[in-house]
Amino acid sequence: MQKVIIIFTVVLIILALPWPGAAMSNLNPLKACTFSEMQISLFFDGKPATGAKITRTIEWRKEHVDEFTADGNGQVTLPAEFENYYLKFFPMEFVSAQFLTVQYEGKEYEIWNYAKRKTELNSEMGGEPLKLSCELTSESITTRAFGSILGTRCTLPQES
Amino acid sequence: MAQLTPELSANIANDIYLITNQNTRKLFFDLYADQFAFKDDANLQGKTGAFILLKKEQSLGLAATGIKQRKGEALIALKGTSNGYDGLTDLNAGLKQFNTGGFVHQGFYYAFQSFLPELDQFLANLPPDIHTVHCVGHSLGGALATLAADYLKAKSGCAVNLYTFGSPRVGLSLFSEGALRRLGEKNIFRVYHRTDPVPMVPTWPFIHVPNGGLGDLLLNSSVALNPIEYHKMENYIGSLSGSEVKHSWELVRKKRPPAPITRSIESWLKSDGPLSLTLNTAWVAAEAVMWVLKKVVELTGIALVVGGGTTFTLLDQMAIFLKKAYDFGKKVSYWVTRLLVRLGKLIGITVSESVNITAALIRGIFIRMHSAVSELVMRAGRNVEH
Repeated sequence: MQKVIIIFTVVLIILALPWPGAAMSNLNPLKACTFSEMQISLFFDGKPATGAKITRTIEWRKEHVDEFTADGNGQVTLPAEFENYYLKFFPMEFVSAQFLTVQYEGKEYEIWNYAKRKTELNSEMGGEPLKLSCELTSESITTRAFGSILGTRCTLPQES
Repeated sequence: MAQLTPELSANIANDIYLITNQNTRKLFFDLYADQFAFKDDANLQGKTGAFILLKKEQSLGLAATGIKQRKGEALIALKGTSNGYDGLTDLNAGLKQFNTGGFVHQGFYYAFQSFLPELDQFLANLPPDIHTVHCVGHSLGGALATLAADYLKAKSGCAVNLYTFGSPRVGLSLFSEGALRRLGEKNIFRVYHRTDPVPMVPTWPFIHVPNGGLGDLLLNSSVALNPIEYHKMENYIGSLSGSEVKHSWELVRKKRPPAPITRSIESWLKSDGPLSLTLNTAWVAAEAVMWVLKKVVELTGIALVVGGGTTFTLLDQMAIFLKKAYDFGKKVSYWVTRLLVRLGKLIGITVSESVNITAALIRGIFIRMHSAVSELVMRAGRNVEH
């Protein structure tokens, strides 16, 4: 009996550990993906927004904020984020609030405001990472997307 | 009269979950800005715009007035909360007399009272041209929407439409019958999947608004998914997404899967076949309990008067009621016995036809049945993987 308890505890601990790369919530019931990987190309007036600073805010149960810098081509990749998800009775509807702003040449632009409603990694694009092209001078549009609501000034490849 | 379509009401019930975070709340406001007037201000004191309905620090929903094609209408949208489910299966959970009369589950009662001042303020400031209020909610939000709709109907001269998705039962028969009478069955759209466990709790004596009739909108659900998946708004939206169904409540009614008709409930009660407790059999058993209770009232004229502090004491009263019915005459005692035999089979108790039926036995079977269904429903919740 003691052996069973020890094995069960070890399995639980292993499952709760972050799995780099393979830490997909659809493979791990104890993880929820709060942000799918996102590859962004930033432009200002059609030219790469070199060195632009991206601030990412994710809020599900707690707020998580981090910053990234675009490379010489205005490109940046935001990694997926996961949070522990312990099984509960009747889980609430899942809502991970995602908010991205870009600081470029002294001005701030909101480029992504979205509520992720599924716990799976890359649930938005059928398993593929999100690839965005964002012209900072364009208007932000709010629309129904991915079973939720999205406000963005970026275009998705499928939409362009 | 103005109604929200199946698609729009389901989308609102789903999107209202976005109001917790201030950025995603703005998304909600932006998307519905061409239909409702919102003002991103939780402490709004103005005469129009959105009121954020609060429970302590947690947003429970919002209230707004309609614009453009929705001029003359208002919206109350409420969301579920992550806690409170445990109370639905607790026999000792208390009952509270609701503002409109009749007893309701104390968990819903207190949640409703927490935003009642804001709701009253909204009502007091409603523009005079408002003729219809839409109350929308999913899960526990559906229970709160039911209370809000009944309250608003009693307090205002407006028509009130109620749209709920996967709502648990809210109150006892006096409340349910009163709310149904006040709102009118054609103004209620209680949508639920047959295998969604949440509408199965709390068990009897709690009764849905409505339980059957025009507003009882049962949707089909296959056995392919884990039952609790059918509780998610995503799957309610999917079930209502047909190109024509999404626009018409009449078509939703027409697509209703066959329910156990009276004759099949009678057959189920008469049968001696083996039974195991599943969400489907629990649903049929609940229908059978209602059928027998109605039958008893019809045949004997004995009224079941329920009142008291907890579900536990109500089960006591029901046991005494059924015992009285059992003693009344052969015809009634037959159905009471058959109900106990079948419920007993579901929970692994053999009730012989010749056994001396006492109030204690009836009470014991109902309490065990309540526990078994509650455990089944909670287990369905535990099996969810996200």
